[in-house]
Amino acid sequence: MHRSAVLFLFFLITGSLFSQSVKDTIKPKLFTLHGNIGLSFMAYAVDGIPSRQLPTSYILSANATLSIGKFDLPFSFVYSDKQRSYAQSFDEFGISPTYKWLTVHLGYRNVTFSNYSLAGHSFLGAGIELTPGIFRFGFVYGQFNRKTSGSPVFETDQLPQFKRTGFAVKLGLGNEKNFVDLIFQRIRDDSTSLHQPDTGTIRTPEQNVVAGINSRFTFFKKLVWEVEGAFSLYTNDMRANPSLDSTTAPIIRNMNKFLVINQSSEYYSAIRSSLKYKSKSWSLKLEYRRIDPNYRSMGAYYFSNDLENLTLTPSVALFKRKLTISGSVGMQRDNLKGVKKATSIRTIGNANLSYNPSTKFGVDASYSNYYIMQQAGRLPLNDTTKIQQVNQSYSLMPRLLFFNSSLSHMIMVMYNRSTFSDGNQFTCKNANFTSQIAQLTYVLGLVKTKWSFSIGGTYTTFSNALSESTTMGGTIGISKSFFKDKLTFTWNNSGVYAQQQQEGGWVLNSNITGNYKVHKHHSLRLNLFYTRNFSDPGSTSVSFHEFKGDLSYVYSF
Amino acid sequence: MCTVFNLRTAKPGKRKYSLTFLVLIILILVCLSGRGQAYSVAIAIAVTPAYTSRITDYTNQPNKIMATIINTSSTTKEIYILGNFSGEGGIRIYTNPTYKMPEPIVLQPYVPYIMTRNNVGDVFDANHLLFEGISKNQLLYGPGLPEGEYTLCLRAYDYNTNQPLSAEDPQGCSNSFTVTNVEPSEILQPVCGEEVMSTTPQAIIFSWTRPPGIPLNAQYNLKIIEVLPGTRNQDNAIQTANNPVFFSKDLLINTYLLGPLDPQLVPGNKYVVVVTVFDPAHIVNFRNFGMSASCSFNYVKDLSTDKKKE
Repeated sequence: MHRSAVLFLFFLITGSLFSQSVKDTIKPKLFTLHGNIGLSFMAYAVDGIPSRQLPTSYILSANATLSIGKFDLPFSFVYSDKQRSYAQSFDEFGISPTYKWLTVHLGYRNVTFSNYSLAGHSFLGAGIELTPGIFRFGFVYGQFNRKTSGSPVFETDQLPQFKRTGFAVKLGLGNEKNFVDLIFQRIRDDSTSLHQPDTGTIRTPEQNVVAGINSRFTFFKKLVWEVEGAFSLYTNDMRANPSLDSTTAPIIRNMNKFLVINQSSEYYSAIRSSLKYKSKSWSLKLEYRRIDPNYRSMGAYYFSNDLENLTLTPSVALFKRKLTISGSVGMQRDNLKGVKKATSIRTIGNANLSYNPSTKFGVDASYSNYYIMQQAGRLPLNDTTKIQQVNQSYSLMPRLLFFNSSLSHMIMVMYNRSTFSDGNQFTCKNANFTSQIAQLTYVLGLVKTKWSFSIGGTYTTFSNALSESTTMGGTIGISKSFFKDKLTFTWNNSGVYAQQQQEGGWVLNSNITGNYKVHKHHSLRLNLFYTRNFSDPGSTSVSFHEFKGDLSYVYSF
Repeated sequence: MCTVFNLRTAKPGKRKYSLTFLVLIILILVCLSGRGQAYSVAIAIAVTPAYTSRITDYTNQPNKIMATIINTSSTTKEIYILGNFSGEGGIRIYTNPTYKMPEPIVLQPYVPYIMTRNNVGDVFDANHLLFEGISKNQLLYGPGLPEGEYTLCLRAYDYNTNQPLSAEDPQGCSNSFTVTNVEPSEILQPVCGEEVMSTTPQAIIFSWTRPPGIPLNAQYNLKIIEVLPGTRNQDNAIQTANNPVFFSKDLLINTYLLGPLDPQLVPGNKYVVVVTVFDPAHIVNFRNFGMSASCSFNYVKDLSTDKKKE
C-alpha cells in the first residue's frame, strides 16, 4: 500500500509538471501528455453468507501517452494488492515509444501479428516494429508465462505452470491497406523452471512453432480482402522420445533440422479469408475459416478449433440512418479430420434492428438463433446421446420520450425471452428451458432543477424441468445534478419477491452512484451497493445482507 | 476373469494410485487362486482417466497406465513386455514382436512388480510400434487416436527364450475405455464484445452451448471476472484472476440468470466470462481443460440514466 501511494504521488506530480510545462514554459505542440491515472479502493462486508469478495482491495492504474514533437510514448501500468504466485502477474508496466515509423515495446505488452500466430498474448519483454516505406518488420521477445504454483481459481486446470519464453518475427511489404506479412514464432517452456512430482498428473514442458502469412488488399477504397493462414507445430512434451524416420512426413523431417520434434509433436493449420465491402449506407462481409482440430498457438489465447465456417455479415442504414439493420448468418461443421464419433452441423444467425424515427420514439430489437445437429461421423450415431438443439433469444426495447422546457417524461420497456429446445427425446425433459425478463420504467425529469425521479416494475421468470423461479417487484430511483453538472448523484432501489419452487423471500437492492468533477483534471467516483435478502420462515435459503463499495479518483491530463 | 478395469470414479492424487495398486495386486491373487496355472506370470492393468487422443499422454504421464506384474512360479524370471492398443474400426497399435526392452524386468517369486513410466515408455515407443487402421503420421503428428472404445493389453515374454509367460488377450488387458476429445462450450449470451445495459435490479441471461459428446451428467462452471483496469486484455484478466473471482458457480444446465441476489455488476465496468464444462466422474477428456474461449462485455449505464442528462 505504501509503495502504491508513492507511485501514485510520483505519477501525479509528473503529470502535473508536464501539464504545467505544457501551459507555461514549453510550446504546447512540442510536449503533450494525455490519458489518465486512477486509484480505486474497494470495500466489502457481508453477514449471513460466506464472503464473496475480499474485505478491502485497491488498484492503481494508468493509461497515457506522452508526446514530444513527433515522438509518442504511450505507457500503461497497474499496481495492486491482487498479485498472487498462482496466477500470471496482475501488476504490470509497459511502454511503447513511437517515432515516425519506429515503435519500441518494453515491459508487459500485447502485440498482434496475425490471428493464428502472435495474437495479443501478453508478454513481458521487448519488441520493435518498423515500417520504413513499403517495408514492414516486427520482432518481439519475452516471457509469455511466468512460473506459477498450482492455481485454485480454475478447478479443471490446477497444475503449476512453467516459465514460458519465446520470440516472434514478422517480415512484410506494404502499408495498412495493402500488405503481405510473413510470420515466424517460437515459444517454449523452460523445463527446468518447475519441479515435477514423481506421481500424479504433471504438466509437461511444451514447445510451439508457428509459420504464418497475413495479408490485406484494398480495392477501390471500399472493398477489402484479407487472407491469413498459419501452420503450427506443437510439441506437447519436450522430453518425449524422438521419433523421426523415413516414414515421417517430409515437412516434419525438414523442420526437425532446427526444432525439437518428437513423439508428442503435432502439426495443424488454420486459414481465414474475408471479403468486405463498406459504403456509407451498407456493408457486406463474407468470411471463411478453417481451423484444424487442436490448433493452438502459444502467441494466442485459446480459441475454438476443429471447425469450418462460412459467415455472411450484412448491415444497412436506411431513411437517413433512422433505421439500421445488421446481422449475420453462418454455417459451421466440425470433425475436419474424421476422427470424431459424430459430426456436428451448426447454423448461427442473429439480427439487430434499431429504429429511431423521431426524438420522441425509438425501438431496438434483436434476435439470435444457434442451431446444432449431428450426423454420423466415424461411428454410427447413438440416439440417446445424439444432439439436436436450438437456442433462441429475442429482445425488444421500445421507448417514448416527451419533454418541454420544464419537464421530461420517458417510458421505457425492456423485454427479453430466451429458450433452449432439445430435439433429443431422451434428454429434452431436463434440458429445455425458458427465461423471460421484463421491465417497465417511467422517468420524470425536472429540467430546471435537474432532479429526476424514476419508478418501475420488474418481472423475471426462469423455468425448466428441475425448477421454476420467478421474481416480481418494483423499482424507485432519484437523481440530481449539482454545480453545473459537476456533481451527479443517483440512488436506485428495487424490492422484489423471489420465489423458487415452494420457497420465497424478499430481496432489496440499493445502489448509490456519485460522480464529482472536482477540477478539469480531477474527478471522483463513488459506487455503493447494498443487498438485503429476507428468506421466508422455514426456507432452506438463508437471509443475508451484503455491502460493497468503491471509491475512485481519476487524474486526467 | 483376471484382468480388469478402469477406476472410473477416481480423482488424481497419491491416495488414488495407492488404492489402485492394492486392488490390482488383490485381483491378481484372486485370479491365481481361481484358475489353473498355465502361465507363470500374471498382469493386471488399469488405465486412469481422462482418456485423451494422444498416445504420449499414456506413456509419459506418471501412473496413467498402471500395470502390476507378478511371478507365480518359484524361480526368478527375466521378462520383456509387448503391448497392444486396439480400438473400434480396426485400429491396432502394437509393439513390434521382434522388439525387446533394452533391459529385462526381473521378477522375484510372488513379489509384485509395478511397471515404471520408463517401462511403459519402452513398450509404446513409437520407434518400434506397428500400426493397423491408422498411420504413424496420423497418430503422432495428426489428430491422434480417433474417438471410440479402446483396450490396452500387455503380455510378458521370457527375455532369454522369447516364450510367452503370461496369458494372451483378453488376459492382461484393461477394461475398455472411451477416448474422447470433446470441445468446450461456446458462450452464446451475452454476445461477445457487446454492451449490456444495466437494470435495477440486475437481470442478465448467460447461456452457452452443450458441447456434442458430453456425458448426460456433465456440469458447467460459470465464471465472471471483473476486468481491472478495463483496458486490460480480457484473456490476460483470466490468467491473472485470483480468488475470490467476481462470480463462480457450478451448474447443471447451460444457462444462468444473474439476478438480484448475485454479486452486483458495476455500471461502467468490463467483465469477462468463461464457462468450463466438466465431467464429475473425470472420464471424458475436454479440449483446453473444458474451458471455453473467453467472452467479454461492457456493463453500461441504463438508458434512463443517460436520458436524465438530456
